[in-house]
Parts: sequence; structure tokens; C-alpha cells
Amino acid sequence: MTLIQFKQKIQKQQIYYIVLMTVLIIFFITFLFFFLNNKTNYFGSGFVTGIVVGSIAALFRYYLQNRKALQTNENLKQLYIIREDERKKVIQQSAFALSTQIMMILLMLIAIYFTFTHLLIAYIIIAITYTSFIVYGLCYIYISRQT
Amino acid sequence: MKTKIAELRKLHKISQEELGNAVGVSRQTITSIEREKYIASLPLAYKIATYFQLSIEDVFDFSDIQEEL
Repeated sequence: MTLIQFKQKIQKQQIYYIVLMTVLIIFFITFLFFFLNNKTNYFGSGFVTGIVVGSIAALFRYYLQNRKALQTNENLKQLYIIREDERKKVIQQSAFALSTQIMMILLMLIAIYFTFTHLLIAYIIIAITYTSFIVYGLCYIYISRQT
Repeated sequence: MKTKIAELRKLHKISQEELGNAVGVSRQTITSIEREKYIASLPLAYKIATYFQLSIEDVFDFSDIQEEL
């Protein structure tokens, strides 16, 4: 990706971030309104609040980072190096692939254990494992058609 | 893969950070290429070679690959 393409990419990202933040804020206000009228599930409401507030904070951080980069060419190049460094991308992909493989093996081992102790949990884990394999297969087909 | 990047940097009196900034990668990436831990992509190899006004073969050592052919 060239620097010009990267600039266009982060300009598009800025629009997505604003739209996403607006949607999340509207969702959160609506959620708060319903929760205040029906205080039944404190764990659920705390969980949703955490995810929504965390997502808005993360989006806002990226928005500010992009905004700063779009101000000068020097800032743009620094952000380009941070986000598009090819070695970093290879490390991220390899780490993600390895961690996914480890998680799949762990899930299978846990499923075997629960087959003898708690069948319902075993079924849930097996379902998650099979779904992961199906999603992997679909992603594989999609990516191989793209490349 | 062996490279002459470290020698060329010394010759041109530039740091890894400066070379990284010029070709659009981090200092750590240049370090890894110099230490033969990471193989640069073709576009990056081209950028590095162009920066030193040389061809890719002058900067990167392809003798191992040539032996395989």
C-alpha cells in the first residue's frame, strides 16, 4: 500500500469511526433508558456498558490518531509506519494463527474431558469447535478466491 | 537471507531509523532484515535497493536460492 492509498484509507476510516460512534452512542442511550425502567439483570447491563463504552473509547482514540496523521505529511508517514509495517503484520498474523491452533487443541481436550463428566458442556464446546472449523473453511475459500 | 544493508548504511552514514523512515517500515524491521531473521517482501526489497541507487541483487544475496535452481 502506497502512502497516498493509506491516506485515502484513513480518510474513509474517519467516516466509519464517526458513524460507528454515533450508532453506539444512540444504542447506549436507548439501552440505558430501557435498563433504568427495568432493573433486572445487573451483570448483563454491566457487561453491555463495558463493551459499548470500551468500543467508543477505542474508536475515539483511533479517530484522534487518524486526525493527527491527516494534519501533516510527517505525521501521516509515522502512522503509516506504525500501522503498515510489514514485519509487524507478519508477526500479528503468525501469532494469531498459532494462538488459534492452541485454542482449538485446548477446546478439543476440554471437550474430551467433559464428555465423561458433563455432557451438556461437552456438546457446547464441540459445537463451538465445529463452527470454528466451518468458519475457517469458509474464510479459506473466500481468501483463496481473492488471491 | 544475507544482505548488504548494514554495510550500505555505514557507507551512507544513516541509521536504521532513518532508513526505516525512508522506506516506510519500523527500525525493528530493518534490524531483523540485517540480522537475517526476516526476509523483506519484494516491494520493500525494491524500495531499499532504490534508496541506495542499486539493484535488488546488489543489496540482497540470492546465492542460496540460485543453488536450488
